[in-house]
Amino acid sequence: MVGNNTLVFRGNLILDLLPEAERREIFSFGKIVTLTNEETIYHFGDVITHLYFPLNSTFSTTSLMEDGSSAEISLTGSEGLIGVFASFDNQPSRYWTNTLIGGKAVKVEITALQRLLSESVELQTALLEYSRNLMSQISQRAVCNGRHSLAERFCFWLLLVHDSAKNDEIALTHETIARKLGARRAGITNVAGALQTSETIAYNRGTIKIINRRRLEKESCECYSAVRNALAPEELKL
Amino acid sequence: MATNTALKFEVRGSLNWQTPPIPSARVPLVKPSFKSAVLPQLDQVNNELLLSLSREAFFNLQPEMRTVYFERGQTIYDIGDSFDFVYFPNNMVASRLALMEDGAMIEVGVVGREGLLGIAALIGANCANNMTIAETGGSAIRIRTKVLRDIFRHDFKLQSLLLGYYHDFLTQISQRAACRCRHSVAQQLCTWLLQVHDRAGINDLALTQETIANRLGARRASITVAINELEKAGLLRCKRGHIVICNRAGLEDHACECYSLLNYSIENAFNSSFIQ
Repeated sequence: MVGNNTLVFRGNLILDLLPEAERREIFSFGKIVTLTNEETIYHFGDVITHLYFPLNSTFSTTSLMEDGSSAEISLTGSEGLIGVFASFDNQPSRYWTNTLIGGKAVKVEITALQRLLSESVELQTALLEYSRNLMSQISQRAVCNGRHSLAERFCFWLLLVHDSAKNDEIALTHETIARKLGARRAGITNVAGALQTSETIAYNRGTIKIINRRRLEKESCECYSAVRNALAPEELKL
Repeated sequence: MATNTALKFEVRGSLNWQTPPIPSARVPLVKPSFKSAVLPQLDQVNNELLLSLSREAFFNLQPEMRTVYFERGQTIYDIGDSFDFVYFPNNMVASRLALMEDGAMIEVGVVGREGLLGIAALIGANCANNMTIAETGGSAIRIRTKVLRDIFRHDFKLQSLLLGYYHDFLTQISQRAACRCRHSVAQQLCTWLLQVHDRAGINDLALTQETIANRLGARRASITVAINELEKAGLLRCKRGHIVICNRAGLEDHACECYSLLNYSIENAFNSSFIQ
């Protein structure tokens, strides 16, 4: 099945934009895997042997602190490649990466991808382009964390998740959200409660349903549009 | 806390706070222009990335290099500027700032002689989306972006060296993102001062409390409180518009874990092997 039907690999932005030859090459050594919610991909310090092109799954990279608290650094969906930096410099993972929302992803061996990377300028350009997008997301979130209220950050983050989940109902506990936003659980409960009262979201047994996305965008800080603009192709920005 | 003697860019003495300022401070600071730019010799290059190049690669690039000087506070790239040149700092510290809607400028990261400015241009950016300014004055090696980009596309060793640095810079920003959520202003202040101190190589840092508050995105009053505490503990001295680091080890004890993690990644970067 793998390699025969190119349609099965559709869904990842990097892969979709590659020339046919490169895509076929990746199809030949990549395989589709199905991941469950909250599955660990890399621990801190892990040597990275496999990279993942998410198709409909969402991955989250989180910094774990010495005192057991944590804060999310970046969120990657079908626009990206998990472990992109290892393909350039073979460095071990510096953070903990897990799936936030399970789903399908194309799993490739790092050595195979690096071989292709050394031959293909297009793949090189695509990966560098993506790493730049990743950089803008991380920069934006770094300044956001120091500057904006928890309510704003909650909306910002939920919009990012919503974009990549492509589904109005998202399985997320308050506990998970608190860990990702580096906040206390009680704080998240307050914020989620307020959004529920204004009928922006509905919360039911570990599932968040987005009801009014426009309102969520209004409540979010400026960072959401900054990250979105950075992700859009150059032509769309102007 | 572990000492960071293994840190390559510290070898020149920032660990020892009694070291006198490095000579470059005596060089008159001139705004960079084609006229003032001079061809550097190997011994005038103090940038870790350029020094990690193979001899051959370095001498290939040398005709393209120019030494330029930046004054404190000078803008290197403004938002929307095209990247005509990339800069490899020798002894200056640059800071990359994000402009918020309310007009605040918050620091995204600091770059010193372990890195380069304008790396985004090498990987496809057309214009700067953050502002880069010189935090402390000093010299840098300037190379035309187009020239370096052409080499970068084909030279795998250079690519892996520069992308390795890019990864480190990303780690710095990531860590700061997490740090801002979880750590106190006082801890963030220590981590930040150590980062600047590492790169500046001198103990007398020309920084006002206002600047620090802006960089960290904190209120000025909380910075004043934190600095007073550190001054009382004898870790630093605060003069008008200057902060003198007196006890580096003490600052390391007060910093959050983020500082040691950043050291770990920088240390690793210099030991990393190339892809090919």
